Amino acid sequence: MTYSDGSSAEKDIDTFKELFDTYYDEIVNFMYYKSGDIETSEDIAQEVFLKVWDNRNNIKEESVQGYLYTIASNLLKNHYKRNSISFNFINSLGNNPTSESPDYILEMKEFDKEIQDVLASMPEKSRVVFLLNRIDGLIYKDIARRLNISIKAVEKRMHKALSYWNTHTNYKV
Amino acid sequence: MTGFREHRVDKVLDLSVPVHISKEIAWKRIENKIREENGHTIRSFPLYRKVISPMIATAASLVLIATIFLTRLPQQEKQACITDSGSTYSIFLPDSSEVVLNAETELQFNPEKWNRKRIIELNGEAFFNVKKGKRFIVRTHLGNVTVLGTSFNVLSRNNSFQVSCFTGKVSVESSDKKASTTLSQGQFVEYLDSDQFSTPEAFDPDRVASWHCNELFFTNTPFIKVLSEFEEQYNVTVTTQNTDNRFYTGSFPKNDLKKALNLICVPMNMRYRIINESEIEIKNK
Repeated sequence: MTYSDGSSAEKDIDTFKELFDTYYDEIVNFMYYKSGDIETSEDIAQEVFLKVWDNRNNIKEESVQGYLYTIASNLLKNHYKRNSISFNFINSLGNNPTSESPDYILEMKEFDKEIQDVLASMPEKSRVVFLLNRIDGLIYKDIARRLNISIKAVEKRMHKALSYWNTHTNYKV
Repeated sequence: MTGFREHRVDKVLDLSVPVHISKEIAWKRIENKIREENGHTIRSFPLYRKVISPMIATAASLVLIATIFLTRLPQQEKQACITDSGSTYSIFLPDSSEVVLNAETELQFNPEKWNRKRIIELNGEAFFNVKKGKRFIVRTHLGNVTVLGTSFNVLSRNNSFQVSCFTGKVSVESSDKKASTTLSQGQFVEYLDSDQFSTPEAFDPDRVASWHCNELFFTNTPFIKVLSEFEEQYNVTVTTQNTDNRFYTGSFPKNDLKKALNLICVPMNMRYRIINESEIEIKNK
């Protein structure tokens, strides 16, 4: 990044705001896929950006994305130790009031709970790759760059995620 | 059942992460922390520090303080009238000029200064019937209307500013004073987006003023003026005792004689007697 010292602090803040606008959402999502706790995810995302601000003179622009993900992972490790997690994803279908029968709505809710539970119990590394692909729509190459792993590793984790999914639910993805 | 399940599996991709605090708030928090830590390096008023020497600054602040003291006048209270949707009102100003407010309109003026300056601030639509006298100015956020004595309609809502002149002459000017025009009787003008007024053209008086209200509204108006307005409205003659130094604040309908008489007499602690179709007597209780 092209940050200079305090004499142009306002300009620095503007540049930093752009960085924040670009990456904040994906860092929050990443934290959520790992932790299943939105408040923690947002807290950590803020902390991540403060750390980047403090180190703004030492970070190169092209490596900032990987840096954000690394800081985020480390902060979460230090900050958050819980064995079981649970998700509370917003489901676009589940929140639509429909004229469907109560049976249908009930079944939909059960289904919703089931998939969220399967996601929560899935091994973390596989889950993160799976959700980055399935929710954020990232291709393997982009996931690899963000997590600083090889594309081969992404493929492996994805494969594990799918086989976990298939053994724990009856539904094909 | 299988159909339903297959359908739902596709929707796994439709999950979205919940939000606890918004992105904007998150940024504000970060920004505050950054600014706290870097407070000594961020200059809020570089101009003041760099360009203006301390001596000039001191002199300037002294002038400023003096100005504040010299120009501080006792706070004048403005009178405001706001109509909500579906109601219209007539107001008689201290010089007995009449303003009819359409629904959802806000009007402000200063009664104490009225004899010196006839200035009204308007947001909404109103019809003015101005008594001859000093300059009468209607201020809106898009432009001003100036007259001496005439009747006209002003509409000033959001981005529209329209003036219709019913009698006399009206001069209209935009707030930034870049555009102005003069209207004669029966002419209408509209403020256009391109910072200018449309060419004055004829309008249909019935359509423009069709919203005129069914209620007369008075604020601290001499009672005798209220009565003459009432006489005019209902086409009757009112005989009364000496009502000097009595003032009326309130409103009454234009189309219900008994209700109007009650609304006039009860608050004034007076009694009325309908002698015949065209004669009414009002006296103190």
